[in-house]
Amino acid sequence: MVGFYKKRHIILSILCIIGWIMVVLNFLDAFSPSVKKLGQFYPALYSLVMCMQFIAFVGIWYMKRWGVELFIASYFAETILFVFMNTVSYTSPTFVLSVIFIIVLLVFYRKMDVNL
Amino acid sequence: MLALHLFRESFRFAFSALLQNKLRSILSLLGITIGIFSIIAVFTFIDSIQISLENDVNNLGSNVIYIQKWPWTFTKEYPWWKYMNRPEPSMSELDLIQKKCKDADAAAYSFSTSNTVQYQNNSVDNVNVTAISPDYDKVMSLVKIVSGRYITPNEFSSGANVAIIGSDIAAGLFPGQDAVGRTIKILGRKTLVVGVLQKEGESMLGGSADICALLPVNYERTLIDMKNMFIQSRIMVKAAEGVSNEQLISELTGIMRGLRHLSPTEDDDFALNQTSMLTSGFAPAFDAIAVIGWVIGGFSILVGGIGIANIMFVSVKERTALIGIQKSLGAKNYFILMQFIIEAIMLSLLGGLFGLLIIYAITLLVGDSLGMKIILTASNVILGLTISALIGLISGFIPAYTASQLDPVEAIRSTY
Repeated sequence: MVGFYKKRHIILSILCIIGWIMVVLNFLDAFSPSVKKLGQFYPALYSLVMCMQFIAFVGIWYMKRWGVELFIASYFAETILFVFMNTVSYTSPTFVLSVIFIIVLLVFYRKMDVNL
Repeated sequence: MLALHLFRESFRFAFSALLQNKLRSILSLLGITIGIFSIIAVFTFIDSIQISLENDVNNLGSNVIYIQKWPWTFTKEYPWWKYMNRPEPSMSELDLIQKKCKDADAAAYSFSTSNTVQYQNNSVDNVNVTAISPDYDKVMSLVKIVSGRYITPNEFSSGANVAIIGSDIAAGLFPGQDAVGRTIKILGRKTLVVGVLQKEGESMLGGSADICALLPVNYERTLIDMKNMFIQSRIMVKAAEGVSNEQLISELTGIMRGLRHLSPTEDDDFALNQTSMLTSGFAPAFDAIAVIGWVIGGFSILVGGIGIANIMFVSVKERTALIGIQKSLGAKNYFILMQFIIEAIMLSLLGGLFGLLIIYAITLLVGDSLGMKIILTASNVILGLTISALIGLISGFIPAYTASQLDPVEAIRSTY
């Protein structure tokens, strides 16, 4: 691999593994009958957001700033989507976990690489 | 412009890589094909049933309330034997409803029996012989006459021996001939055919108009024993424009309780049924089928995605030296990234497309043989392609990113 790689903290490794598991499960949920019932384009939009989160975790794994930025953007996109789907819950484990993720990621943000 | 050029170049690289390993590409996209096939086939089947059911319900009248002795859905709280003692709706009640109900557009009375209809040596069995009151055609949208006319008010009031018959009866009794003006035997009496109904096709809810004979209520009453417990009559009330079913039900409940002289403590001795009760009854079964399809398809797609990720890692390993040369010639990281991502998405999209093609072929082969039209809707096609593309993106991103981060010197040295 090319270039200088910043050492990844164990917390970030755990966070990425949990994130990937969550994303895979949520991705399968994206085209569940219950999401399809909400509207024709919801499964596509929801799975797109999940896809963004998956890529974001790849970036975080490689200690890239764009990973954190993409995760925050996808988090807001997901929240907006949930508002439109009328399923937003500020106490749900996914929501709370995402907020914790963002806080942890922002702590490590300065130590991350700015390149692709 | 440069971005477009780079994209086209990446696409060309990806496409040639797929063509070089045809068998490997086909085998690796099979998982996605099976997954997309499972999910979209189930969604297509359910959507087709729902469309067919909605059409049938619309024929029955989505804004029509049926006043009957028996409800269409039962509750545990009210035992079935209590329904037995309820009175049947009557013509006199219809007259009063027509006078009192402000939210109704039209109301009609009907009851049915099953019988054989004859014309000379031809006969049609199990015909639904339905007695109808004058406004039946205004309440029921399925009364579409293709030949002849509707029963006149005079024929209704005098109980004339006339009938409108369904298209299957007309075809069975008068093959290749016009049925209007001929005299057939219904319930043992000679009856003049004045009209033929438009062909409707099979109905999922049963009781197709094709095998139905409509007679004036005053005529059919003279032919059958109205005290027979199997003769179940109904009053159908169609809501006026802008009136919801709930509003109409509320008004009809008040009117019917008044007509039957029920005290406030007494239960209703009539049922107000609506077609939405039929569709909601099917909903749990549809949901269960959809969940099964989703679980099977979801796991197939997951396995397919892992297969694509695996093949992309092999592809990166095989082309490490080539990546090194490209990078040493000035190719940017994002160019290499895009090249492998496009390859993964193309592979996955092809798999999804094959899955959709199989479903489309099945819909053409099955045709109308299931008694309904199986339709692969545009929304299901979009859903299938989106899932495929995104699975490709997810599966291919890590191998592509790994490839984009390779050191050109080390990559050129690679001897895979």
